[in-house]
Amino acid sequence: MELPFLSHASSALAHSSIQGLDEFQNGFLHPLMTPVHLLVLVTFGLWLSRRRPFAPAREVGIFAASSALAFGAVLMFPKLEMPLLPVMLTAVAGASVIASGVREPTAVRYVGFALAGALLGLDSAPDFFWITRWNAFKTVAGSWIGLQIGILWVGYYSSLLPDKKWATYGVRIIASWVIAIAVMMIAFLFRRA
Amino acid sequence: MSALTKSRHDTQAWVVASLLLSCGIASAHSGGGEAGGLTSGFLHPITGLDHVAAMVAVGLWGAFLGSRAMWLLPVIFPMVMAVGGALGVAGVPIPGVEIGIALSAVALGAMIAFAVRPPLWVAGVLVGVFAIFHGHAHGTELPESANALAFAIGFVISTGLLHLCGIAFGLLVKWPWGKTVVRMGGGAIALLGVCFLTGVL
Repeated sequence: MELPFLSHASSALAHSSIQGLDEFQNGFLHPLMTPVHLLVLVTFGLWLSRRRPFAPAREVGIFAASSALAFGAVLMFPKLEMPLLPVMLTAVAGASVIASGVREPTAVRYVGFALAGALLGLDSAPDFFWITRWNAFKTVAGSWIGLQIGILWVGYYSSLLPDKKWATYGVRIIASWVIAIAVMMIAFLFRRA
Repeated sequence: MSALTKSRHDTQAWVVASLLLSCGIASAHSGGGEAGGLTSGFLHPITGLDHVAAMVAVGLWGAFLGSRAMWLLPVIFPMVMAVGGALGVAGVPIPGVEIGIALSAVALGAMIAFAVRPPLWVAGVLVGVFAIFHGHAHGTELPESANALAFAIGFVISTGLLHLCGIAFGLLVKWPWGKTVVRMGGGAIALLGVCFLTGVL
């Protein structure tokens, strides 16, 4: 009964590759071309920039380590699939911290970055059906680098905002937009389910 | 002109006419997919005058109430609106959504027109309650063909930009004449709301 629908399903847009590009380049662009990943990167990039002076080493280190572990898991277990809900909930949690303007405990920040890295890594699994293991590794390596550059890019540039009230409130407004988008997406996931 | 030339011109005219009539739709402007979702989401609040009036009023009232409210209300509105949107997407009915939207324009416009300055939490609750109605309308009207994420991004950004329009207008309160202009703007919004409520618009 489901066969006609399954065979009619289009390929997952989140993991589509761009024709003519090398696997590494495709992997590198993956986090930047996937709206859900961008949402998480913007959230955690903004979170990074809240610390003045800008000192992202520990948070980015944790994010890089957890995403590397997740990519390793993806290479070892090709059938691993990541549902969208935890990724969206992580975006909501991170954006809530920023929008509320509370000073979170350091441990909460570390856990948040570890979770974000792990979930984005798990959600970036290449399609093993189409590519060789070596090419899958190249894709994953590209995605890993893309994630680190993405989070650092958002964090660094938002840290350049002046230490003024309007800038702080502007960042909080963007965080509230992230929450709104993510909540709508979660509702839409449940409607589809 | 010979009969042969006239006949040739007639044939050319028929060919051109039939080619024009057989044109397909322009694929560059299709409504589906991510770009279509973003566009329809972005246009959704802008194309409804009732949404525009209420969202500009939120920014306007925030600017009128002072610096904290100016930024707090645009933070509260999209977050609560998303909850309303989620209820709409999930198909949870909320009675009187259209009345609620019209009332939001009346109430927020009247607050500005009569220079009402309630405590910040009261303003936040009021804006939050109205945001649920606006969000529900967006969620219910989400087109099936549109990409949900792109739609959500589009309508949240356009809502935010409408708030910013209100804030920009509301910053005129720095001057005495500006305060009068802003209050008149609030009055106009309230009047629009009455028109929505009574079905005139």
